Amino acid sequence: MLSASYFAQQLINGIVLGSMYSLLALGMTVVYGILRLINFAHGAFVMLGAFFIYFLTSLWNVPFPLALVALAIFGGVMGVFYDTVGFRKLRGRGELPLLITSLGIYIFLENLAKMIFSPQSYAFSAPDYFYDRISLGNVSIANIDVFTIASSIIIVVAFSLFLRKTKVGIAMRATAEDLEAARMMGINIDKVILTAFIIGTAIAALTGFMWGAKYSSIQYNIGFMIGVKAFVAVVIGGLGSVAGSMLGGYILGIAEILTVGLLPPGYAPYRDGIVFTLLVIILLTRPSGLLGQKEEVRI
Amino acid sequence: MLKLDKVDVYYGAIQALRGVSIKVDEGKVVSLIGANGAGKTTTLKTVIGLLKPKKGKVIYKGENIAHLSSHKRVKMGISIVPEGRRIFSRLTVLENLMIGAYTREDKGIKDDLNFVMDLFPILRERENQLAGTLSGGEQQMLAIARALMGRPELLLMDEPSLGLAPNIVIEVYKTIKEINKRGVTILLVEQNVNMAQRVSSYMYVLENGIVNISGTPQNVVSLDEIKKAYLGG
Repeated sequence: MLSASYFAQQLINGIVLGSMYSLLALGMTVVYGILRLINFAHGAFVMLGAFFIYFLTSLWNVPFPLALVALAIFGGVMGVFYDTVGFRKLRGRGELPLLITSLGIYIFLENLAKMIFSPQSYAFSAPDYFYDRISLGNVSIANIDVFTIASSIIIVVAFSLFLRKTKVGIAMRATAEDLEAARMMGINIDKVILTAFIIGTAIAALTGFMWGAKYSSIQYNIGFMIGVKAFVAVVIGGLGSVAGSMLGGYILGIAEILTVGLLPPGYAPYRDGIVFTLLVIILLTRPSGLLGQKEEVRI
Repeated sequence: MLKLDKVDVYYGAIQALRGVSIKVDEGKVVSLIGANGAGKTTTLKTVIGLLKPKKGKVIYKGENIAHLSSHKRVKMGISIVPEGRRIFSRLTVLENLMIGAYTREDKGIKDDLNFVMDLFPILRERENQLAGTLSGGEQQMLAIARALMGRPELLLMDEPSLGLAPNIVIEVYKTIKEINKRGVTILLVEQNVNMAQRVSSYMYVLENGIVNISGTPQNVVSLDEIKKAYLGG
């Protein structure tokens, strides 16, 4: 019943989903690393990004590559607003106000989207060439899947290089380790935090395109579960670890798809439950996640 | 070079500094001594800009900087060796040093890197090691070198001898003298009065957020109450 090619096909789907989770987990872990903020609103930027490129390409016929660039810029601008409106005034007020703010902003954005776009779902399509398939023996893979997997690898590698090789990247790591010491060294932490939000939301907006293109439909409320699962990926990998969030994203994506693909059909509706069970098991055995460092207790 | 003028600082509702006035002349080493919780670190945090005074002035090179952000102050030539060193343990030694030069845009960074590595050869040997793997003494060297990378005119040092073996403490104080000889003004915070008096030209004693006693080291350490409190009778 389970042929090798069926399994391979499911594995590809899992890797594609995992790539998207990884991209979102990356944005979340960077912001968490610096602000200790569990960014609940992250998923909203995926949804808004998806609608943004939907209107650009499907309604206004903006050429695709240009639309993709515009999407990244739109994501970055959302990051600027998100930080300045939501968090600039909350510096130094502890973690709980940040958490509540991000949750509040998520609810606001989802409701705003519901009001503007109506609760219906929209048929999303990427340009036709994204749905051409490349065949590899018995398995075939759509260009959109290649695009998603490749983009996620490129973005993560580029981001790692940014963290290792650039002045701002090194300052970002220093700020994540000890925010007060970073200030004492003359690092403008507001700039570092803003940069982290811009990078995170721009990546989230781009992921919105990948999501819409893969699942062919977008709706005002897709952000919630995406955001929660990206956070699960971050926790599985280890809070604050970039490599960990990648790993967490892939594990989650693959586990979710294989659950649906390999278990008898009746189990598919339980995919989210199974995913969260996985989270609990991993946390019971490794409380700091797979690649996480133990959080130092700060007094 | 630096003058604090009747500075009041609060942590929420608790007042940590009460009308503190101190003066640090250019080219000198001035030390601030006092027990735990007296407000020594608070004073340095107020100078570097982590805390803002509710009242009073922080005058640096003739300008009131009391409301400037830290990164502007570092750019103006103030660097700090924080209490407990606060090196970035997950960054390499070299990356830590580059963070010290973060606000600089001039071309002298490479020369200064060579200079601090000549001053502390161990840092050159370990340049690509994670800073967290260094010993306590080496971390203190790194913290001092990192502050020097900002090419400071005023260097703030918060208990540089804390938690170090006696021979390393002597080493650190040799370095402090050396740095001062090169024209860097130093404001030193210490509990180790014995070491502080050897390098300082002036001393302030802080008690419960108030400066009560000040004077030359000879005068200050000859006071009975200082002998009793800090020098074991």
